[in-house]
Amino acid sequence: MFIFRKAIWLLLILLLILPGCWSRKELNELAVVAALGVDTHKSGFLVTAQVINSSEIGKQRSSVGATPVVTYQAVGITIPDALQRVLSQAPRQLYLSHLRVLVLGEALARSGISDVLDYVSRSPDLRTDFFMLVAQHSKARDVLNVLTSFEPIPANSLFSSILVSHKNWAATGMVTLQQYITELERAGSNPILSGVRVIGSQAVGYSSSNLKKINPDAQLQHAGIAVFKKDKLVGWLEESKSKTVNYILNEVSTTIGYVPCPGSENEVVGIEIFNSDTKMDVKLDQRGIPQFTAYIHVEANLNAVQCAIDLSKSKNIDYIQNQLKEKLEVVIGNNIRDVQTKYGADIFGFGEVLHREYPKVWAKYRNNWDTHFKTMSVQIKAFVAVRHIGSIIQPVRREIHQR
Amino acid sequence: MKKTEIAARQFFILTFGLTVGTSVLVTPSGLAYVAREDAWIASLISLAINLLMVLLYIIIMRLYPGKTLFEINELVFGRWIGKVITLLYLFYFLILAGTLIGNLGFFLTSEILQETPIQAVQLLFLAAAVMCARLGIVILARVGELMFPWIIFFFVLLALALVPQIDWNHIRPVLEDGWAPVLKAGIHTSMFQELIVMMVLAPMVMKRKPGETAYWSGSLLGNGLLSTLVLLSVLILGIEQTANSTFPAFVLAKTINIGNFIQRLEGILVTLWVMTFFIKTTLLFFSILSGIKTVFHLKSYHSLVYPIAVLFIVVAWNTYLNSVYVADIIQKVWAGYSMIHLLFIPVLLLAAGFIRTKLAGKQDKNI
Repeated sequence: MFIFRKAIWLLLILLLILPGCWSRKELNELAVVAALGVDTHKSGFLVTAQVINSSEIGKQRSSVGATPVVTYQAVGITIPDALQRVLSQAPRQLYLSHLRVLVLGEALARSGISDVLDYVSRSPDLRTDFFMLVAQHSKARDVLNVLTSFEPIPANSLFSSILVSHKNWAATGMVTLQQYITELERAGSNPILSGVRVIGSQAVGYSSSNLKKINPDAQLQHAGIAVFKKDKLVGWLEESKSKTVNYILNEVSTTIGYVPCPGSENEVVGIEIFNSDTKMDVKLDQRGIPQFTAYIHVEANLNAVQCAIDLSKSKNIDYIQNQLKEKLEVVIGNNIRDVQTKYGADIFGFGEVLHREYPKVWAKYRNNWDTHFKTMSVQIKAFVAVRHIGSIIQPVRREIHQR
Repeated sequence: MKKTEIAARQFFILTFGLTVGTSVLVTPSGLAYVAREDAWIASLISLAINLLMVLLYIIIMRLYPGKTLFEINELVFGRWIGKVITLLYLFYFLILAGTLIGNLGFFLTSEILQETPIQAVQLLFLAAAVMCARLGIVILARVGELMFPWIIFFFVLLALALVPQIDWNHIRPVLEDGWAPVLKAGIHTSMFQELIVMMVLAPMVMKRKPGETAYWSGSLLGNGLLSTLVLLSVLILGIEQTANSTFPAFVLAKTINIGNFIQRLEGILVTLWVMTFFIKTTLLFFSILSGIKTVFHLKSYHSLVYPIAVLFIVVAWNTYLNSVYVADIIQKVWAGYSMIHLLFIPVLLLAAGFIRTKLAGKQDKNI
């Protein structure tokens, strides 16, 4: 009995120090996938995996030759099928949990991405916090084959540039898988994704010689917002329309704009919008037709005054405020109407607003919302407050003229 | 040997654990599927129904003070019918405990320990339950006391971390399709907290009055926690994702991200879940053992601990074929089957109890 007890104690003590994980995977057995690209292929999907070359990342002194990431490509009927085939090229097992971006080729996006979404939301390996991007006018493969300076891992470069530019420029969209799926599955809204494109020479982007120039030959650039109708890409929004989408979706935190100076169309005052808050509302008119209104509250600073306006007078500030208000109302209103007529895709979520406010009215429209959306009237009401004019009062132009 | 006794506070914690165990992971999905934006109202209805059921159980226990559920069965329905009904309960508890262990294995192996054999997870967990069952109910009560502050702490931590992501638009419009789907979902969900199990343990509580308070307040707190979680799921994930996730609460915990710094807190949810899960499974274990003891007039149930544990595993492996099969059973069969044990038989017990006391009263007068 005594020996039995001793044995138990020994086992218990060993249990404290010896156990490991059942399915442990050490870092040197894994190929950490930073970005995944999916394209159409005649037999299923062409999958590109951008894998971090960990031995190159850790080095203090930059080594010549090896690139910080390696891309593998394979074709498969399903995405996991293709990923499995990557194993025939890669020396390590692919590890998807640290995925930063998922890039979809334009051709794939146009033919529908629901199968891709099913895989990425079904797989327990993948978290839901990566960003999704559409490669504008190109294949996802081409985007993932560009090396970036500054951030050695292109996927991280994309990831952080989305974060930074979304925060500081209204035209960049930031969409995660979760948001996309929520928008997709609701009846009263359509999803968007932001786009990315390669500028410069792709052939050079492949090689680490791209990193040796002060002005790299190939670079990645954010390219507006991709409009989806359900899971199919229907078109691209250029800068101004992308801004509109972000204003309406209340995704603007800081952005830059300009308005004309009094008495002159060519001279402008530069404006920094540092706070924007949008509320959408719907009212029914006498015939019971929904009338949408978006209330946009904006706070702005002046950041570049390129005319001789007298900024010591508060009526001039009022003038700038009014100009900005009018500009917002006109431009955003026109852009929404363009999206309505051109795509008929409710990427702004007006349908959901109607659903929330008037569920009974919504029931009449729900089955055919995209068609009805084309005819809906949308009003924009902007409220602008100019807060700061910067460190100097009068414009430099004015000072010169006075002397 | 001294009579086993537990304090009202411990009883409260066990009731709480029983209510929260397993439901915490899966409840939001079914509710959001049926009640859509109003899942949270449905979960409040479920809370109310649960409290009413607890009230029913308390009234029954007042009629037969100091008796367990199984002893009441035999008193009310007579020796043989009572034993048959007790065996029905035991079968219900057995299937329940087996499915719980199956659920544990499935969840852990599909979301976290993907390459670990499901048997390893289940057997390890069962080993802990067996150990606890051998040591007795008092030990479980104390374990519960140790776990309780952590469960609450983790839950509050999770809930607070989720607050920044709340989007109130997700729960609007309210009551779009009227009360019917909400009531349906609420009644359905209220059949998964199995609070009747506590009737087996209630006689062990030292004082009657605080015991009753612990009974309803424990289920109130547990259900309150569930409702909060349902509300958070819908507010943050939206109904589409809540309804279409196998384990919505886990998805919910995965979304936590505070300043790109505090992330990936899903482990906390799993810890919370495993702790309440342990309380629930072990409680069922004790109930089955004490039921068998009552039915067959055994002196002690210690020799039965291992055989019953083996039965759990057998049931677990044969009921949890895949998660779709289980979801299907839960949707179509389980609520009705549960209702027989949670509502129908107790109501019979109460009715019979009242009639007996009436008759007894008349007899008293005649004498």
